[in-house]
Amino acid sequence: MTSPPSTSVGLVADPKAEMLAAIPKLRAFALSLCGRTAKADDLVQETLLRAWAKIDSFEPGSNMAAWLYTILRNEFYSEFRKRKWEVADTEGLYAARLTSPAVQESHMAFLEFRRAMAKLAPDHREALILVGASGMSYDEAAQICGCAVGTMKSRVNRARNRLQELLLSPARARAGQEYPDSGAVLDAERLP
Amino acid sequence: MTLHMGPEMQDHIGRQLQAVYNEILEESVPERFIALLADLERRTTEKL
Repeated sequence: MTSPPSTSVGLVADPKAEMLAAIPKLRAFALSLCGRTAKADDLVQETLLRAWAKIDSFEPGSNMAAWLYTILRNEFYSEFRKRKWEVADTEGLYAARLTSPAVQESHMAFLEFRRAMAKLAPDHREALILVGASGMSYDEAAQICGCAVGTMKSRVNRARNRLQELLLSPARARAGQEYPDSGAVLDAERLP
Repeated sequence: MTLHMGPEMQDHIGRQLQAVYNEILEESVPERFIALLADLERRTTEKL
């Protein structure tokens, strides 16, 4: 045998390799729905199991990450929906290890951003990650999320506006969330 | 860094979004997924 059966219809030549390659994107999408927690990876695991069982419904040559994400989001909305988007409690510890003020400053901006993200509705966060970060078109994202293109555009716009509000008023973004002491100390240093 | 409404703020949001996303993309694939896929493949091959 010299070449893989890449021309066969309805069969993916190497589903394992394709899924493996899609995992980083899939994890990033999972994070948009359930936050940076072990739950996101549990969701990815469940998705891989389900996807493997129905690999025959994957159209060879199409976007594996997008296909996996449709499975993941079904799973999320049927099983994980009630759970709150969580901010991992390791963030403060990580920040405490950063010593250079410049690095701290930019890391604090990053944490502030994540806190603002945590305040968004899941469908808004999802829209931002799919369109704003992963580079998907509005069309693709709308298809994956089962909504109209106009709805997707409006979600992205509203999410951006809300983020803007939250970033201009970080106290509101922080309200109602708990962070480890190390993070709180670094935050205090930024107050006027 | 002082942020105001407007294009500068939208750029900031764009960059931060990209940073959140890239941070995950750059992580190596957790061992559990590599093991899971290897296991699934092995079981499928055994069935053939």
